[in-house]
Amino acid sequence: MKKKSLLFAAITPVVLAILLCAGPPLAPAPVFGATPQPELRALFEGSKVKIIVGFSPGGGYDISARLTAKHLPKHLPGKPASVIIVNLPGGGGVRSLRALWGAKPDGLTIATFTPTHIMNELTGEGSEFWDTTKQYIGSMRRQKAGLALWVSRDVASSWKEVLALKRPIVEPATIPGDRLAAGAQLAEIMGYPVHVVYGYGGGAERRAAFERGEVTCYTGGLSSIIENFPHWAETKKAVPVFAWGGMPLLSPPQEQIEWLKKVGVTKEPPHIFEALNPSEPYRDAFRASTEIADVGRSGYALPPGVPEHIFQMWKDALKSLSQDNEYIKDMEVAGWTKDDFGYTSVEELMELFSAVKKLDPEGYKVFKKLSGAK
Amino acid sequence: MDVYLEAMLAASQHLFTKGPMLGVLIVLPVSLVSGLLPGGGLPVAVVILGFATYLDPWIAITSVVFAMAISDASEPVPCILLGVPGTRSSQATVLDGYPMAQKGLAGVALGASYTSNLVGGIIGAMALLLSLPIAREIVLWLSAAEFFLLSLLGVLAVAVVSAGAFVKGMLTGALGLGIAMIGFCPISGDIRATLGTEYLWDGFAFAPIVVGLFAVPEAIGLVMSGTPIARERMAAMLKESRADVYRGMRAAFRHFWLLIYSSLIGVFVGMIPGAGGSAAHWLAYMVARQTEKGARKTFGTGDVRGVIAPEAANNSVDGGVLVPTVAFGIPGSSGMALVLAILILGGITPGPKMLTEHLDMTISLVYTIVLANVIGVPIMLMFAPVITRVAAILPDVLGPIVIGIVTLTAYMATQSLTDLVVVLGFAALGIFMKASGWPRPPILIALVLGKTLEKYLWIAINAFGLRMLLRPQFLAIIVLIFLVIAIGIYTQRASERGRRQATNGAPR
Repeated sequence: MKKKSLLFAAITPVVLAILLCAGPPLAPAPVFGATPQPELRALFEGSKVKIIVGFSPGGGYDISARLTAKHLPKHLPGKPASVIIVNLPGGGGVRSLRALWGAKPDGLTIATFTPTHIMNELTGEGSEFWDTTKQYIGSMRRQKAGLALWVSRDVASSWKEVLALKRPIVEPATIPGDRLAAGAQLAEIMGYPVHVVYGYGGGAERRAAFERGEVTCYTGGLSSIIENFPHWAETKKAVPVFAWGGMPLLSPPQEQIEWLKKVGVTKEPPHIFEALNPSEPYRDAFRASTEIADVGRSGYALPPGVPEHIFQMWKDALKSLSQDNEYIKDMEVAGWTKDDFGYTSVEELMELFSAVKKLDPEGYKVFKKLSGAK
Repeated sequence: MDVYLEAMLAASQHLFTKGPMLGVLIVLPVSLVSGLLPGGGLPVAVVILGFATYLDPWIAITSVVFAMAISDASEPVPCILLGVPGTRSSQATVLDGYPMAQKGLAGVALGASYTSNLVGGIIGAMALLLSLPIAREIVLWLSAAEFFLLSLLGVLAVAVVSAGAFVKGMLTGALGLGIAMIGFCPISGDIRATLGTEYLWDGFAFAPIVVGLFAVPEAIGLVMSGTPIARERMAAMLKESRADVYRGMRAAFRHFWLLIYSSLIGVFVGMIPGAGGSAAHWLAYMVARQTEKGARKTFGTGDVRGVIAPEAANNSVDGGVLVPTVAFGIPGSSGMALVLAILILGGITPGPKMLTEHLDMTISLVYTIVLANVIGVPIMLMFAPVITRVAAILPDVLGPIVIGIVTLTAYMATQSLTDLVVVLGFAALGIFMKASGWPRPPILIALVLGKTLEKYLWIAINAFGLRMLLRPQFLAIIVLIFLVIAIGIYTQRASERGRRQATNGAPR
């Protein structure tokens, strides 16, 4: 008995020492950094967290926010009773920003916003109810895959052939500043035979317009093109004339490359800068506008005046959510690809802000045009 | 063909299981009640969307389509009994349904309307089922240029059916188009003519306008008249309410050809993205008015055929609007936007694959529409004799109740107190128009189609330029429009001639 006690007395400190040393790395990573946990737990325990969505139920922003609401509670301290969606459509999302601006800064209300609100702020047309630096907590989507301008083969098979056309190729877009029309817009600004027609309601209307021959070109990422135009493998309907953004077109999984071969695309299309040969200010403006438009998607914001530790907690929570496998799985089920989402911090966004501020007057003018400013 | 039959079988196997059927049972009573109010089944569908991330996609999609389709079954009630168009559809039913109720024939109108709903819904679904293999091609055959013309045709059709007041109809239609231009511009993204009011950023909400323009003037008119809605055959209406409903059902079958072609108009016009769902019942009404024997004189005064045509088209349109929704991902109505969202949340991307890989899901949507009609219509027919009694309620009791309920519904549109100001403003306009014989429906259709019309005109000019004049489809619709205008002018002149003859013949 005595021997056992001695052995116990000798081993216990050793085991404790090992546990103490190995403990921190083995324990779950602290999600909320150095913020005062009990206070935050008390704030969220049994509370109702609101996500204000500036668009009607059923749209892209709404769907994305609903999936965020479903998985967010796991990443918040305490146990919120519920995360609810409040749709406040109006004025392209401005109505919801106004509601957020007037919300109690207790950290229980967040809202979605659009890249346009950031762009407007940078072009001096921002809303009086929006301040990116004070409100932005992070975005959940960003385009990592490349985009390409596809032209109907009935019209041309390469950028060189487009240049020889008497009538410009026509690109469908939603409103000025449409992220997906940026390439065609740059070409139009530079005087190439490209005409952007605004007024389409979204991706589905743009695709239908291309299919019925109303427009002659269409911008999209490869995954989205394959998903929506599977029949191009038989009809060889269109060809990419230039590309921009992330990964090259011909570097995706083998089955996508096989599909491209069936469509008749065997070599990488030229980069937009190679095809259009824009001057340096134009290049800088294009880079800044497309990158801000990318990272501003599915962004969330807090009302102004939220205490710093709650602000930090929200940033940590969204970052943690962006790495949540169940959330990622649900997002993939809803049609987003892995290349289409990821967390963008306020610091990353501010880097893009400073890139815009460094633009020379000519570049800034192009940036304004690309972002839809008047 | 084997693939098609397999998909039909798979759709029924998915649909008729415990989960989707439970969803149907839960939404059934709520949707029937919500269909009575402006906004229809939309609020129920929004609630279902709230649960969609947790539900099996088959349960969610069946429930939401069922909710939208079954609320159509209750829509004729406010149209016929109160003269208030329920939602964006069913507006044309007011023109003949309400005068029928005033003549003590509410039961006949309800019976005819539900039977038309049922037959229209089934014909619509069947026509859609048969046309699915070529549905994409049908939609792709038309472009923005034709969508613009068809939207214009919708507005003109309403002006034409404004019983002998074609010019006034055109002018009120133009007023409606002007109101529709307020708010967010679909092309430039600018905010227009809002007078600095945040409320108008997205233009006027629809429900407060319907309430102001129709419900309030009708309720005030009712109270001032001092008589119940039914001004004739009150005793017979109360005594023979069930028999009246049967008479209405028989009347619908007696005009079976009208039922068939109105339903087909609903399906094919419904396929037009953006415009179809709102214009179909008006076009069916216009065609019936111009082709049915003696209809030019009797339509607008309580002709049962003026109820059958729009109600058949109104339900068959549900099948039509599914085509742009599932085959292209373009929602044909606000309800269909929710259907799209639930499909996407369930991992199903609307587009060409809905007619290949997910054909079973598409067919199950068609089945759900049929199911909603088969269940909803008999229930409403069962209650119709009781509902008919609303026409006998004393105006001092009914008037305030109607104003209270519809104003509350209008407030729910944007949950802003400004909704009530809008109700008041449009009520003043509605009372003036009613008193001075200006037709009110053209304002509604112009409001619904205004932004669509503007958008497609802009796109057509920019994408085609003058080349649009070379499109045979475009030219065919232009001819149709001239025909409609000619009919409108002819009807107006005939009506004026009739009035002059009546005045000349009158004793001095």
